[in-house]
Amino acid sequence: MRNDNDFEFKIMHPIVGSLFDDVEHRILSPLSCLREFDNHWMLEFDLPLVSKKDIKVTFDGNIVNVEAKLKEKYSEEKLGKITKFEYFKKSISLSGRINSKKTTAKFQKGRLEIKIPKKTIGNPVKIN
Amino acid sequence: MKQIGEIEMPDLPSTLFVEDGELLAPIRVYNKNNLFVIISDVPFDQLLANEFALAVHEFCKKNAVKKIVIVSGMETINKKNDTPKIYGLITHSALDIILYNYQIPKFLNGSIFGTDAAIISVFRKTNIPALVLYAECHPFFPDPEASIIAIATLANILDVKVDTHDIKNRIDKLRIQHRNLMEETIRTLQQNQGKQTRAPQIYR
Repeated sequence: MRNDNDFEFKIMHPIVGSLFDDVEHRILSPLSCLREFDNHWMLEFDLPLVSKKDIKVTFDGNIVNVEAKLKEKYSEEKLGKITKFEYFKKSISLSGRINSKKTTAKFQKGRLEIKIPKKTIGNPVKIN
Repeated sequence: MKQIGEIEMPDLPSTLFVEDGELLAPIRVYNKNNLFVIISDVPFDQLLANEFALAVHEFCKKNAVKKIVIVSGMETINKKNDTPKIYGLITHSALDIILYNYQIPKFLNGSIFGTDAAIISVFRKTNIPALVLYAECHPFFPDPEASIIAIATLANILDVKVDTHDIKNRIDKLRIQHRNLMEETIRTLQQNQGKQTRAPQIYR
C-alpha cells in the first residue's frame, strides 16, 4: 500500500540480486536502495548492528563504496558451516556525472542515507 | 495455536519447510478457540492473489468467521516520526467501532495494490467485514519496528497477549537475517509488475 503523499521522487531503483556475502572474509552484503531525483541521487543502506563511527564511505569515480564494522559478530550458517560475520561492504555504481565533494550523509536507526548531487553540464542554447 | 490445515496454490513453485524434522507447507492455517490465523511464509505472484482471496473467503464462510483482520505495510521511505504509525481501513462500517475503541486513525487517501487489494475487493462484496492494519514501514528494508507496532495493535484488537520483548531484543539481528527474504520479495514484485517495483501508473 502506498500513501500518495510520499510519491515525490522520479525513479526508484532497488538494488536486488546482489546479496553475495563473502564467507571467506566474513563480509555481509547490506540491502541498499537508490532513488534518482532531478538534481541528486539518494542512496540508502540498511546497516543494523553498526555504529556511526565505524562506517566508511568512499568514492572511486562514479562508484560509491560503503564499509562498516559490526558492533558484535553476527553468526549465520552458510553451506553447513557457521560463519561469524564482522563487516558490511558494498559498492554501487551511479550513472552520469556526480559531485562527490558536495555529498552529505546521515545515519539514523541503522540506516545510512547518502545524498549525492549530480553535476550539471552543458551550455544554454541561444534561441533566435 | 494448533495447525489445522494449509492452503495449496498449485501455481506456486513447490516449496516446503522442514522444522525439527516436521514438514511445513508455506501457507498454513492455525486455530485456537474462536480464532483462526492464516500465515504465508512466501511472497507470491499478485496474479494468484485473487484466487487466494477467494479461497480465504470460502474458508471464512465454512467456519462462520465474523470478521477478518489483515496486517500489512504502508510504504513510507521518508518517514518523519521516530515511531511508525498504524492506520486502519475497513470494508464495512460495522468495524468503525474497532478503529474508534483502539484509537487507530483511518487511512484516508492512497492506493492499494496486490494481495491486499484482492482480499479487500473480495470481502467488501460479502457479509464478512475486513479490517486492514497498515503499519508505516520501509518499502525495501526489513522493518521489525513496524512489525512490533502491527503485532501489538493486532493483539489488542483480538484481546490476546503477545510478548514482543524477544523481537525487540533481536531487532538488529532480525534485520540482517531477513535481508534475503526481503530481496526475494522485491524480486517477486518486480517480476509481477514488469520490472517495476512500485505501483503501476494510474490516472489520479
